[in-house]
Amino acid sequence: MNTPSMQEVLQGVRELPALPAVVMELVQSIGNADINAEDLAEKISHDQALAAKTLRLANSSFYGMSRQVTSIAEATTILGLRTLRSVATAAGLVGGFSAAGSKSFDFHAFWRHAIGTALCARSLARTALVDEDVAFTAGLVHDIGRLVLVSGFAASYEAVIAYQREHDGLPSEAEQAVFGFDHAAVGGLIAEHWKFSPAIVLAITQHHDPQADRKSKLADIVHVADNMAHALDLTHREDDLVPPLSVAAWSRLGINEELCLQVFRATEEQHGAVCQSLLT
Amino acid sequence: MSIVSMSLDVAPDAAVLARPVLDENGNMLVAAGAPLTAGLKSSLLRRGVMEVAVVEANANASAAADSRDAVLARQAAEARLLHLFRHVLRSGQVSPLFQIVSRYRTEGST
Repeated sequence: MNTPSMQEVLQGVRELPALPAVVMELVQSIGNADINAEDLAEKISHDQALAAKTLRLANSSFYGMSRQVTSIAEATTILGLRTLRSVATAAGLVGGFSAAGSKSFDFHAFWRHAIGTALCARSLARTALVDEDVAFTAGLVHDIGRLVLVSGFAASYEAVIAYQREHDGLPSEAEQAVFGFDHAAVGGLIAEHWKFSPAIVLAITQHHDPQADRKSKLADIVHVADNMAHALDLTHREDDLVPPLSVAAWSRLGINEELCLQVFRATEEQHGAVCQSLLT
Repeated sequence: MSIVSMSLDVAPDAAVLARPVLDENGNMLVAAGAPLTAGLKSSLLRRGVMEVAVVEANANASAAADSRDAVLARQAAEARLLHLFRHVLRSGQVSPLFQIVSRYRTEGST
């Protein structure tokens, strides 16, 4: 088996099928307040699968709306444009990868963890005064590099999974052993390729090892949210594992027990509904 | 502890699993001691799980039995947390998250 070099992975990233145009547009507009709500709602409405999934999530208990919304235009009015954009981006990204080609990779568990991280990040962002919708999206895509490796290099990724099982280690350690680099680096590449905002690219790249930097509050949030989601055991996988926690990132966010408990409760209350909306 | 097997679709929310739920290959999907939630039930039903063993919620059960059930549930939660944090604990790292989530799981969250 030939394992690809970082250069070949980079080439593979460039050749990945593009996400639907409307999803790319949503991704690229995150963090940009200057977008046309009507135009965006119309584009989402034209993609029937995306519109249906977006409405399902918008109507789930996660957003706690008092009545059902039946159109994207109505959802824009009630949820607000930024939240609708975050919801539609989530719907588009979750539907953008297929499980084809991998025998051992558990896609369902992958997304259960990603959604858990997104929910924890959203709760933490509220206290850290960071845009909650950006944090939700960053949490959702923090492990996107794993999906790129599984989708583009399925045979090599089987070796990663075998290594991880044999050593009972972290995915990033197994990827380093097999590829010589890990999913955080690959995720940064794909996020740049898809023109995510620089803050989200940094959060993906640094989600295992956030650095002290005034621009990296989002990276701290995603790192802690990733740890929390693993600790809450949301994947239902026997072999799940909590990665090392950066106590420096934890301290920079000023996390205390009360905040933790709020995040845990909110995440566990919402996780089922969001998974049901996005994964079925 | 009194254990009762029942169809998953009629199992009450918050019922505590008395035995782990396994998939067709014997892989554990959910550990014993975990409470059932609507989301978890939907997820398990989608994966083809039809029946679960839960700790019997009997209003007439004695206080002693309740206490034993609580101890067993707590032990299951502690064991699962030690397993989840095995990498961190093996390497001797300090994790404030471990302490907090341990209290959350074993002392309840109100």
